[in-house]
Amino acid sequence: MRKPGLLYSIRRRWQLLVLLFPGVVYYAIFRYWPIYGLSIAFKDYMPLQGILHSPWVGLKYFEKLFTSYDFTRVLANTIIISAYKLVFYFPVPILLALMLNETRHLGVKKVAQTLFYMPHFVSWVIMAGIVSAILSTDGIINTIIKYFGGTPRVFLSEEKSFRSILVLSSIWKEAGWNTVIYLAAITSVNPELYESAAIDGAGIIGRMVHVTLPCIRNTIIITFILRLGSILDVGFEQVLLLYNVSVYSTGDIIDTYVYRMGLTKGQFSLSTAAGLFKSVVGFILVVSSNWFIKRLGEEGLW
Amino acid sequence: MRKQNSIGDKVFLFINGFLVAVIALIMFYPFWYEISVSLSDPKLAGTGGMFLWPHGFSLEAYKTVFKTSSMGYAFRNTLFVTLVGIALSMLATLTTAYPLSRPDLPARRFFHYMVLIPFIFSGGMIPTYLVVKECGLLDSLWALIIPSLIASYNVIIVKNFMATIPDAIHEAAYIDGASDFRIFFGIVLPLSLPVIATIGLWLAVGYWNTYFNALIYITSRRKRVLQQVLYEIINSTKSDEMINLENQAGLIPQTVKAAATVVVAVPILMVYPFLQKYFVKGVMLGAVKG
Repeated sequence: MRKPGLLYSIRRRWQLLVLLFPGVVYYAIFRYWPIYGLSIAFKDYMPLQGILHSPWVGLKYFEKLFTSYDFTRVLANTIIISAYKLVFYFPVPILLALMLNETRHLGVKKVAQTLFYMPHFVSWVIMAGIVSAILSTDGIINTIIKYFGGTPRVFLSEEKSFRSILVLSSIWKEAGWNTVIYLAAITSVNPELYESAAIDGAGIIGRMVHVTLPCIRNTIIITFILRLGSILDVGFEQVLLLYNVSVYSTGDIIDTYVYRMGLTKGQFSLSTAAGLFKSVVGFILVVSSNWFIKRLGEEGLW
Repeated sequence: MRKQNSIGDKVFLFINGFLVAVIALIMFYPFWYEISVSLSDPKLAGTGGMFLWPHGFSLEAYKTVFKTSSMGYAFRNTLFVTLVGIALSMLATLTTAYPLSRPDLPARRFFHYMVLIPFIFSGGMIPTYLVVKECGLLDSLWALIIPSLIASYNVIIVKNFMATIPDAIHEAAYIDGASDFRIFFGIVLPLSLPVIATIGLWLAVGYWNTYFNALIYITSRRKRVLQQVLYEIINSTKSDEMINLENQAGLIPQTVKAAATVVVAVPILMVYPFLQKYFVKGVMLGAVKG
């Protein structure tokens, strides 16, 4: 049978297109027009002339960007903070999921899960408020320091503490929630594997290391690769709400730089150039990680 | 699994359970800290220190927060954005996802890429801001809803869910003379309730916690949302309506900051334990197939 032509299928299924119409309009205006708007990275953006009529200036803003000290620093900070999160944050949800899985007391398990997930649902505004309350000069941490005779510290203004604060607050807010994906993987482990391991004399730790971990290995690898693919996304609101001028040297990231340059200083073209750089690198990383996951024989993101 | 455990296993299980409980309490402690401070006597709370329990007891801070006019309109604005946002986003996500789940959608590949491409390549912050500006949405609550109406990730999840509805159901409906509209509203939507619940809750959390978009799009004081006003209270950004929050020294007391935090966090935290299973189910939907 011949494949029905496009016109024929439109006549038959026009109602599907009607349903799709609002979505198409939305995508055109709010997803594709901004992609076109990236062109102002190559223009001198003038608010009165708009995106379309501002004059072209070639690579002027990219040259400015890559020769500026700020951007080099911001790029380095972004990658370093991401690397910290990869090393110190990434294993935590896996560990927590394994621990939850071995919690036999159902009451403890249920309550613990509810409390683990809770921080995920509050905003970064609240989380930043709580972090600064706890770290303030009369907050709990400094009270403990004073109790042991130390001098109180202003952690949020210390360049060398800032990245650790980011990692720790991420762990608090998201590590519990991220156990969900590993717990889902653990529930799909074949129970017979545990039984035969037990018959072979494996204790609980043995079963965890030789059955559970290998069975969720793929999930771990995929999550890790996806994380690598979005290495330039470090948690914009988190940094924006926690940082201040005194920690720019270690805490300023691409997103906060784009925000300050563009929306508070009005340098639209320069900040868009930085944003475009991030989008392009992000695109390449995500596409290659997806390709890599598929090569491993797993289902990719698309 | 229910075999006799060795002594070593029993010790391990005990320590493990104990650690899980301790970690859960540590995760909850920051919330408990805020609750304790908010219920403390303002004079005693000012000295700071450990809060395992309120220092003294006073509801003064909550009374102050509820009397503040900025909290009042911010609450109304957030409620509007959350309710209208959920309704419109849900409708738009479902009507976009359903046609994509049908194999006989005309130009299916084209529409598929239309949704997929923005998922991996976006215009980013500044161009999006400029588009919102050129659309005349600046300083409107609609700017917090319309530009983030549809998330490709949600479309993909809903589409994958709808694709699991057996094709035979559609065939039978077509034979009975049902139109695509009728199939969508009468058959597909009722069958998609689990995924609708999941997405609805994600949307609720997203809209309730909206901060950054409000920061860049909203300029009028009376259009600010809850998270913005909370930010201003916590960081003591001065504004006329907040005069009544201050004590004699001209500072916003710690107790009031904590009470405002609790008031903003509680509605969304109240919602989620009851609907936890849907959230978890949704993450699994996403995990099974991307």
